[in-house]
Amino acid sequence: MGGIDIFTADRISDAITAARAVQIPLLATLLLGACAAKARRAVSKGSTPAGPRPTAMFPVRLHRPMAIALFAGEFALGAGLVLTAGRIGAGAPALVIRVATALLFLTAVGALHVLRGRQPDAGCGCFGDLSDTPVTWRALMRSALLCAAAVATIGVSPLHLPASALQAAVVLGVAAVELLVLAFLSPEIGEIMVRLGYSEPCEVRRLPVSRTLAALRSSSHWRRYRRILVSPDGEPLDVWREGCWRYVVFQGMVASRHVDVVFAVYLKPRRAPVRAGIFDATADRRTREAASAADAFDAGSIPAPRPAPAPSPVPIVAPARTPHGVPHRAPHRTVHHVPHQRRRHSAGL
Amino acid sequence: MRRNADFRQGCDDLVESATPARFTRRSLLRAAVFSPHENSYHKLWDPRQATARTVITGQILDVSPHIIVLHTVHGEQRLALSPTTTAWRGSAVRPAALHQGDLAVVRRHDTRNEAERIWAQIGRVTGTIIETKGSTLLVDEGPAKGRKIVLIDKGSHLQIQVRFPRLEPGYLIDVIGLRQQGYLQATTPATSQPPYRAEHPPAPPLINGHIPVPISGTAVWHEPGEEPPGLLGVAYPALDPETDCESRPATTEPYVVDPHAAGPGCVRLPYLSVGSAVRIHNECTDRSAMLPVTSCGAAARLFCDRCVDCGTSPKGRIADLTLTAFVELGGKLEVGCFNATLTIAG
Repeated sequence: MGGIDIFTADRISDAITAARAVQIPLLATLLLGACAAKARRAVSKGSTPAGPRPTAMFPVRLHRPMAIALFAGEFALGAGLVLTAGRIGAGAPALVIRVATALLFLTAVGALHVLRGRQPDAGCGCFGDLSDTPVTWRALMRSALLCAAAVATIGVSPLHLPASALQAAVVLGVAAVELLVLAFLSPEIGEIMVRLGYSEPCEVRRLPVSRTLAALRSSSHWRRYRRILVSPDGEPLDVWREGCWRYVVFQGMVASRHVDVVFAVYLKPRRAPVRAGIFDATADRRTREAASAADAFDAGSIPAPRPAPAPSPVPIVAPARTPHGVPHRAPHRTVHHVPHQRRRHSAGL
Repeated sequence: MRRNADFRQGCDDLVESATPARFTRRSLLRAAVFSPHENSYHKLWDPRQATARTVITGQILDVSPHIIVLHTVHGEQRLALSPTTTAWRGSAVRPAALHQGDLAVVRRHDTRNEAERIWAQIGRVTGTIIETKGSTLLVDEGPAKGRKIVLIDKGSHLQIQVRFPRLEPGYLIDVIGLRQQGYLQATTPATSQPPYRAEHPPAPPLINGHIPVPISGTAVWHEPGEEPPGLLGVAYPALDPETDCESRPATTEPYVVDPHAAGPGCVRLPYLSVGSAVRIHNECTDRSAMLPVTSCGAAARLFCDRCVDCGTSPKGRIADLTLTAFVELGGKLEVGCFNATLTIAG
């Protein structure tokens, strides 16, 4: 019996040692992953002096230095854990790195607790943009767990491959359970899942004008209208955007009259639908003059309202009546369309 | 700044552009693609649709207990004063207490030539505090408007600090007061201070599919600056970054925040351009108007706050209206905001 007890005790001891050893690569991966996420955030934010959230507790002039120090510290500890995991850095260097890692996570627990009290809306910024949700007890628990994991690595002998199948199973089991617990405690996982299934609305999609022009020039509408454009290879007269559509205007010539050829290009990375129309300012002016004359006749002796500075005055309506109809989102159809008053100009196209 | 669109004929800004008619033509050009019978957009922009406006902006030439005379861009205008006419000059005052030479905004009665409400010398500063010296603040209002000095006198300090507890560099401020020579004498807080520093506005939630409309939030007003008096329009917080010209070169100055680089704000708004039209509905007065986008209001993206004019609005500023548009929609300038919904024309 005593022999069996000793055998069992040895196996338990081996399992505990293996569980302690597996913390080193886990911690190193998390620290280096956090650095990568922060670096990505810093690159995407450009020159903005915004740093990870915990820096908000410091005076503004210290935000950037603190963000850089945190990044450098995490990177140094992550790399240090990897470098001292084997026999090369065994002994004092490994001890220093592991103690420093434990201290970092201990400090993080305190900092997150303070941050939660002072700025309840702030995220921890641990994994850059992924950590913008407010700090909750889960983030605190995660830091505490990682602190305990770092403490467990102190005194672990240099890593080596598992000596037996049982040891390998213990290593994999401990790593899997710990990752599951960390995933449960990490709000970033939910954020990642959302982003994986995220499709940016076309209304807020950023697409360069050059891509819009490229899409336009490869469309059938462009080929159809190209011959009436005064300068098809030149610059457009105007370009603007409204929601999912970008409008491009070129000068055209129809029946010896200058017209505006208007293209609407849907903001889609590929196979963008295009619509087109011709605006004849002369015909439009005539229509307006006729309408004004009719209005004057209808209005009798009532004086016309005083003209206001540009842009043209707009009616105030109470209560509201929402306009409807224009497909500023998905296009109803992608056929060539010319409004009735300009149809004669497109007849020969 | 012409970083992306070298072909453009000038800056995409109504006030700065040498050819502002370019923007008003856009609605007509748009209607050439999406025909008028598909929407009411073209009709709404028709100049013949002009209606009499109820807001008059001008300088007070004379004021008596029964009449006020204003010098406006259209000449001299006289309006009757009645016992129900209210006036504001730093606080509620009698109309007769207004001063000659004051810049005044008057809301006229809908049917009578009578002043309903008068605001004199009203001003507003909205932005990031970048320097403090006692009760004097230097506030950065963004790339378009520059910096302004705010002086908070002792009488108003407590009232302002209740809603703006952190009058420190790096935090946002939004105050209303009396326009003085070279500074604003703050008298009332416009909204409540967001708890974060200006460079850390919260990110909006991710939206899949299309942006739901109408979009609810807060509508505020801004000082006219270089805008023509009486302009009806809106400084829109989400102008297309490809054609929007307003930006600031990278700066290393502490506390200065470029709103264009601070993220989309806490409301996702569709990108538009100067000349686009939006319908703003004042939830408190049930008035609405189709307004043109006349400038960039990116600074509004920094403010993830609420308006409590009539109930509590959802977070985020969706429109920064010109002074005239705000009053025309029934807003009270001294309140600073109203609960609003925004619909894109078309």
